[in-house]
Amino acid sequence: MNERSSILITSRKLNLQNCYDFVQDKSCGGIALFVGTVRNNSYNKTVTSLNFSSYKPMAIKEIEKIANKALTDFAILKIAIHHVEGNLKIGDIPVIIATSASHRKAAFKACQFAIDTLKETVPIWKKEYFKDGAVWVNSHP
Amino acid sequence: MKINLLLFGIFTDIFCSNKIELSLPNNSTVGDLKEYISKRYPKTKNLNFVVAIDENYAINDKIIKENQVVALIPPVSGG
Repeated sequence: MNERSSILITSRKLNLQNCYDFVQDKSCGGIALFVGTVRNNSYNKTVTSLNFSSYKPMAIKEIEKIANKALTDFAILKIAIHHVEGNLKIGDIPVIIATSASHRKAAFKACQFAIDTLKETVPIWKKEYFKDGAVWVNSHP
Repeated sequence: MKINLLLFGIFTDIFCSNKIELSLPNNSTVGDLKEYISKRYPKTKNLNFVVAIDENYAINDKIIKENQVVALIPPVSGG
């Protein structure tokens, strides 16, 4: 963590305003926000709820790598990456990414880079529950 | 050598635990560990996974040392 990044994995409800407030700055002309939300369907089945679990110390490290790379590779001022663990309901927010920059393109690009990379490298797992069972997303052969 | 293996995601269901202890020959590599797991626990045979050592992703050639924190990492699905 440094003064330009805010990283959080929590079992509490995520706070969009906190992410916004962290990245906003008088020098910035734009803020990009990605807000993940729990949808009610997957594999053509109705999702009833889901659970996120993490290898928390490693997940924090991997998110730090993403934040540092985003700060290095894109002309952004700040980045916030917050993720939930625990049980979530339909419509809840599992992840928020916020980036701020002088110009919008860098903010958009960094935000997309962060969420795309998070989904590939950060050890967090989603288990989706249906009326008739459950699956670990991406894990089944 | 004995290693404590941390388990996550689908592995916690397969092993009904979030940790197992196992014995491997000294100087075993990550690749050796993967092969051992697949052979010893048939339910894991068709699962993709990688290994982390001391909270960093490790390649197959990496040698595992006693007392390192070793984890099986199934495909991630955060976000």
